[in-house]
Amino acid sequence: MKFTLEAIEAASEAGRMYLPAEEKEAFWQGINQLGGYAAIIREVDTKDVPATTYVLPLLNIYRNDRQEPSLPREIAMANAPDEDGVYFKVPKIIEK
Amino acid sequence: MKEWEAVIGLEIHVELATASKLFCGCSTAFGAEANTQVCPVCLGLPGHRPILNRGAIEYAIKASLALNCDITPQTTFDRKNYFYADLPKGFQISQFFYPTGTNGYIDVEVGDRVRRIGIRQIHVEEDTGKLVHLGDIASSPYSLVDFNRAGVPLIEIVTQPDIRTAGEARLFLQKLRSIIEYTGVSDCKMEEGSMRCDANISVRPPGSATFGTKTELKNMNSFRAVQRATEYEIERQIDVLSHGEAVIPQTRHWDEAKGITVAMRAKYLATDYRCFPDPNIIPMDNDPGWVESIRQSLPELPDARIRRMVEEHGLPGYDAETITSSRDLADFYEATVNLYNEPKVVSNWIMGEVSRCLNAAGKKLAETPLTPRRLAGLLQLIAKGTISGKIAKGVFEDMFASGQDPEAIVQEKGLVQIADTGELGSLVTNVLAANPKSVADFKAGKEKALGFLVGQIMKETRGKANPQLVNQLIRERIEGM
Amino acid sequence: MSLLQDLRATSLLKLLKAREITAEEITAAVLGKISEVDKQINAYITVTGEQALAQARQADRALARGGDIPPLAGVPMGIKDNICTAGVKTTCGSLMLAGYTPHYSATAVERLGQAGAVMAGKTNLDEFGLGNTNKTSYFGATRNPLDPARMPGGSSGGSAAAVAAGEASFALGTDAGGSIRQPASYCGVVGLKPTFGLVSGYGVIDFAPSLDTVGPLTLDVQDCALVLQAMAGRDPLHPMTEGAVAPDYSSFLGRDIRGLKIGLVREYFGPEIAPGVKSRVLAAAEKLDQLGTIVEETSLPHAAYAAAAYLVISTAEAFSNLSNFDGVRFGHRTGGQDLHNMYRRTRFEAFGPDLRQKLIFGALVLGAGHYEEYFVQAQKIRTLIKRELKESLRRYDLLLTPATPDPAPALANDDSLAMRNQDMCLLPANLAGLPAITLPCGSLDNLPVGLQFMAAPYAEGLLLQVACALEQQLARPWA
Repeated sequence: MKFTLEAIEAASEAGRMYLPAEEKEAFWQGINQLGGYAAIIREVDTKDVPATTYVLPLLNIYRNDRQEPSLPREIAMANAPDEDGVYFKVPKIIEK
Repeated sequence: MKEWEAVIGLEIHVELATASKLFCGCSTAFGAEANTQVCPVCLGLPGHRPILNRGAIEYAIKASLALNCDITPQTTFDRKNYFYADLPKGFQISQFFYPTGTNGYIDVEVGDRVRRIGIRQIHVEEDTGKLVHLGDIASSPYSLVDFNRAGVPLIEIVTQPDIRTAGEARLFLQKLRSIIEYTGVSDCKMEEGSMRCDANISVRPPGSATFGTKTELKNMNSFRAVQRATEYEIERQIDVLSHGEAVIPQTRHWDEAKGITVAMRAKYLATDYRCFPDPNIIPMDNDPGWVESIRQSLPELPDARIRRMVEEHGLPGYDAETITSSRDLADFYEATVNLYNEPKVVSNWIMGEVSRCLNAAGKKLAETPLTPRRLAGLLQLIAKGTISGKIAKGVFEDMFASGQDPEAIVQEKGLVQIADTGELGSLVTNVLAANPKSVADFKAGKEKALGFLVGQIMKETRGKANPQLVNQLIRERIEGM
Repeated sequence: MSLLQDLRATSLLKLLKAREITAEEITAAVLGKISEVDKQINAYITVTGEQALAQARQADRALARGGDIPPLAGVPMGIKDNICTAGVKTTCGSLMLAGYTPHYSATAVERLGQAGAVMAGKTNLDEFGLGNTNKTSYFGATRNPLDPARMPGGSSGGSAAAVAAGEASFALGTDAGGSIRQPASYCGVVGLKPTFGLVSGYGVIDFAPSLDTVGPLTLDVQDCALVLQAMAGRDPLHPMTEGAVAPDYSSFLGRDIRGLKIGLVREYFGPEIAPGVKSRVLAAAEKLDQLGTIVEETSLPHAAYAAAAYLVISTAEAFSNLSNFDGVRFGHRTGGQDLHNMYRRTRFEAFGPDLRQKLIFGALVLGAGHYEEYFVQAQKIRTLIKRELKESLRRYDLLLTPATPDPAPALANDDSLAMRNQDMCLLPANLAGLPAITLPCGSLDNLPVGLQFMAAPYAEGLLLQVACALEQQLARPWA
């Protein structure tokens, strides 16, 4: 099975990455090479095998509900591309 | 003739009343200056590591138990991936695969029937930040973002599509809010956004086994709005279908000012959230002992309380329901009855003067100087005949405003009832002499005339005369004429 | 002062304690080396010369005062540039963070600082750590100091090159899929990937949180034990460290290894492995046998699927984990007319094409219709590999494999499939969360050849014990 160009475009969009026309062919090839490489996992019989998300057998590590200090606002905003000292600023939002 | 039946499912977000956020220690307090309750975790700064707040899970379990849900044996979290300016990490951490509670219900009294509305699931997730615009979102040249709310724990309560009318939707929500408020896991303020409701709505021919095409309604900011918007949307869909057209599956926005719903975006075109288990959040056992101790900590919930008030206090069902709709009010009622054991009298006062003064002042009980001891004291003054019921209303208002004890107010203002037959007797003589026409009318059988004469005495004494006594004295005097 | 020939931390500490040299002189020498060779090697993205000298002088004052000397006092180190350092640019080798200065340091960095180590700078890496060539860095490729026409490997290529070139005594790397061990092997240094959760990941800009660990690249095994000791152990800021057990690692060094059972993993001695590599690893196994260990062949039947499973899991996690780089709160922003276009242009411009392809692939394997057959299937294979390793490590104290199938490839090599296979022996340890160490065991065409040991969770002591015993049998430049 191959990933179609449309699927690749949709996935690029899902990751909010512009995909220019001149890259499409190379990406299509590169990604399908990865797909071909990954495809061998499908030949393994994994019936009744549970999925591993957490490699450690850790359980019940949590914090109790206690308030702790937050960051000073200047530090929270120190690396912001655009801010007004109170809020982070983003370009206008056009509902799609 | 009824041609269509509506099918309504609700999704309610309730902000949990924890002190700190779901995955960090930042405060959840409402109303702080923008971007002052943030840290690497809730800002999604590079290198951050989330740590689960057990208190949030405890609250979610508590709410789930109160809503008759089964509790999932383990707490796990997943990532819901999407981009938006108010979402710091590019994904929201939510319980996509294993919600904390499933398979619950609420019984709602609709007219004289009880409707059982199913609750599909209750899951925990983090809130987003808040966008601020100059003007409205479409015309604003840029948006401002405040991340104080980002990471605040929420539960989302998803009902089964069991609701059939806009009225039922409202009754369900009121009952839900009352239950959640009782558990103490949220203050459920729709106005402050700590409770938010979306509705999925479709219509179909009555008795149909399949569902019609549904729309999702957003932006309803009060119970009234939910009812109005749902009503409107049902009518709109019926209108569309009656004209042989199809309902478009879409998200619609409730415009409160215009009283209409407006299409926002096409629904199912979109979004594949690519959910998968969050590798950073270590699972937590909801072990049965813990769950049981949470169950034990649940307060008596509204249904049980109503039953007890009716059966043990002898209150009418209406009174019990009204008083229990708010936990504060019901607690106040019970504490007052403990001091002054006349449930119906207490109930009348709470549904009457207490509620009226609270509404007029726009305050909650806790924000006023009113205490069960003061109300009970006032009621005792009436019972002992120290003051009349009418005077008592004035005393109550003073008490509500000043926080003085009723006995002190009565003393200070000289409001003690005149029950001295000698003193009242001479007043009666004067009044009868001054109003021969009324005396004649009463003799002729017009009972109303008696009321007028009593009123004159009350006026003379500025309400302090004991009305029963005055009544009796006038009767005796006229009959003896 | 002549340039130091032996930069091993243990050697430097001896000289410092004997007052034969000062920390400032050591740091100055290392900074001198950096300015001499790093134009060519490009191991560092940022050199923190002045800060390093100030830290070194502080170490000297502490040494002059006497008393307890911190375990790494005055030892110069490089920190991989995806590990946060307060007040020092942390770029992840990407335009996205080219101007990013964190306000806090990773726990690992904090602890090394407390141990007296002196940070010389931030080392180069594949963009956000997704690569094994060090060619995808926005700041240019790193070269292998042993042969500048060759790659140092990656993604901790800058760290490996810095240690190999004498530009640091040791360096920190991160390893989600061989990213410490593969470059360590190509550059002829020791690389340790600790047990998942032994070293805090707080402040590490990881791309695959279920796989990634911080670990040391050092000149020898003894240094490796020292550096690990300084970092290992529980950190309340990173709950994954809750089970961390950190014994006295140095106490394992020099212990008798006779009677230990070592399993030679059959699947990693097949045709993919260069014959010269195979023969040198087998020669090392022979030495182990002579040292009294019991070396036997064992098998990991699902080993062949590890690389594919790793590819799926790591790219899927990366797709999500790098979504916070959206140009809103930090990092690069390419202006757009509106929010949506700002996102698309920012992430197109600031992420390189190789990274974007991998993120797209990650999105695809999580997507509707592929989630079960790719992502969940990969997680199930992860379970199988974990089980097989657990079973093997019940029978053997350690498992032995080559580190990489080949020595360092030419810088010009663009065969991405062949490069992918270079991590084949290393990935099972990541999938299973096990500790693994690589060390040089000979050379082929004047390039180092490495081998790898894997052990059970938290058995770093055993790894270091055997690696140290073997190392002493092998010719080293400073021996």
